[in-house]
Amino acid sequence: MAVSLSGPALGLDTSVYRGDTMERYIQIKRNGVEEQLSDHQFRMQIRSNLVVIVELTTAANGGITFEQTPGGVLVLAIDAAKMSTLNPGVYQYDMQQTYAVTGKVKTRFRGNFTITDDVTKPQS
Amino acid sequence: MSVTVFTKDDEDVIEITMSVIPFTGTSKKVYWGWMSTPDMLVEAQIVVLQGASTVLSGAKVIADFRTGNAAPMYLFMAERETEPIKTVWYATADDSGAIGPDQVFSVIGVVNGWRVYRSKTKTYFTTTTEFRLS
Repeated sequence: MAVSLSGPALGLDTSVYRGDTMERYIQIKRNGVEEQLSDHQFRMQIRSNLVVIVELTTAANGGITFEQTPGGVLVLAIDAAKMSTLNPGVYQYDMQQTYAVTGKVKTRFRGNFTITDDVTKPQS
Repeated sequence: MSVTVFTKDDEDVIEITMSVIPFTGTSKKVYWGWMSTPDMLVEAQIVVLQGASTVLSGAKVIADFRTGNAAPMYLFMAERETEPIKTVWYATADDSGAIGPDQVFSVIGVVNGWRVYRSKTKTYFTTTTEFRLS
């Protein structure tokens, strides 16, 4: 297994289809044991260079929720209406985790976020 | 489909897996409550969230609509949009038949990725109601 020894894990690329609801499930384990994610805050931006096209957070209606399996799973969601406003292309994103007690911030992973253009557009 | 990557946090190995589908054993999360108008959940109407639950597929949920429901209201239940529409509503023994074949819940739309079911008519609930996810 390839382990990033400094900084976030690399290679967590994701491809989505413009106009479709996006959902991704993130499980994080520490030394093989699921972390209790719901104690922490998470924040993620998808960028085209300096321009933020989407930001997801664990704030209310922020797009990141916790799914309560043992330890917790993050659910990243972008609704179809928002997805239909995004331009096709290859973007970059990463995910920051802020620890509740210590305030320590760790960027856990990063990767490419590819949006493929859709054919069927939303009804006007 | 899922992808797993690794990083280090001091001496700890951090394993991160991204999946496009829920993890095996991942439960479904649902919300329920009541709303003042039959329209989609919008700010203009009164929407009261009365409960939330995370349940395994096929499990029963006891939705307690009683608190604060002083007048007849539309009831709603929301589940993630990507879940198949297999929610089965059925009456408990003591709900006076207010929910069931004559009081079906139907999908009225999707809000922020959540599929919203709403009762056909306004209802005054004095007991709990169950629904089952499959």
